[in-house]
Amino acid sequence: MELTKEQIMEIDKRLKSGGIKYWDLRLEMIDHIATDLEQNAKNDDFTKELNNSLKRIGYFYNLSALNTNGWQNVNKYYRKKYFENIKNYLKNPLTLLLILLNVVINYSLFDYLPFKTFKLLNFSGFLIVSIPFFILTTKLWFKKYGRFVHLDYGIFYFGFALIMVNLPLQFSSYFDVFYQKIFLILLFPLFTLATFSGYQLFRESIQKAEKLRKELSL
Amino acid sequence: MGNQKLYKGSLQTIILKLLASNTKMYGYEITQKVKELTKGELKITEGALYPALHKLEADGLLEVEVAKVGNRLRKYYKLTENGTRETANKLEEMQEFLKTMQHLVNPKFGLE
Repeated sequence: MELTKEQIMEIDKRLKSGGIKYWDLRLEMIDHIATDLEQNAKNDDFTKELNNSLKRIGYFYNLSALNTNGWQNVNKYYRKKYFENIKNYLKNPLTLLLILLNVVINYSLFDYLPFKTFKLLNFSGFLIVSIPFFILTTKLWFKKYGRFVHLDYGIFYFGFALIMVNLPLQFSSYFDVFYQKIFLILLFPLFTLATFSGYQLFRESIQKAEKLRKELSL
Repeated sequence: MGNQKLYKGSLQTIILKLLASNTKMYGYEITQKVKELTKGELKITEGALYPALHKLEADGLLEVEVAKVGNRLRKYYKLTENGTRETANKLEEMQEFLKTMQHLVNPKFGLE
């Protein structure tokens, strides 16, 4: 017996109300439950059979734990790739050359500009690097992908450097102006690399969402 | 049913081995195949299977193919090139482990 579209929707609704917020996590669970139902259902009462299937599979009592486990795994994957990307950029001679160029330019401005202007200049740099984040995430919002766990983490790691940069900036204000300048010079390239790494993950997550959405509409 | 804890650490190797013998498999199919091969001795719970599959995918050992089956989507898992190599390594490790355990659990005394 093949499950109807309405029955699949009912399973989806059940998982959603049970705490599985992300549709990409539900997708695989739905197939598992549906296959189990198709092979083991004994009577026509679908809701009763669904409950039995959830118990048989072991989903009945721990749906929200499965949701947590699901997003934790995805987070682990994105976090690992985020830092791996940064490490790989730092191995690229071109990146190192660009960092060196940035340090040289910044250092030469260092003596000529008053600290306020120097700081403003660097902050503008941070802002310019962050602009794509605001544009792309706003554009994404209009595409209405729904709760897709990969996208959530794609967005999170894209904006991660922006969230974190405030902390060292606040911390550096306790030091002498000279050290603050040095700090800004070093922080900017790191911020740029981290944002770029986040951007790559963001793109990867969109590709995943697009692929699944296309397959869903087949 | 045997002690499930003993199998827990071998879950990834079991999955890799199954995928090495079958071109592609989906979650439910893996649980049933394991049940069938072990005559019900080992039951992989879904709470353990999917995190393991996702981890193997994240490590680049598995790749996913999505296909429409009936009114739903199904995720098929298959080994990547790296996954095929890693399967051989893991199976070798497992053989070594079993040999060592055999020596420990059932030592054979004799003149050699």
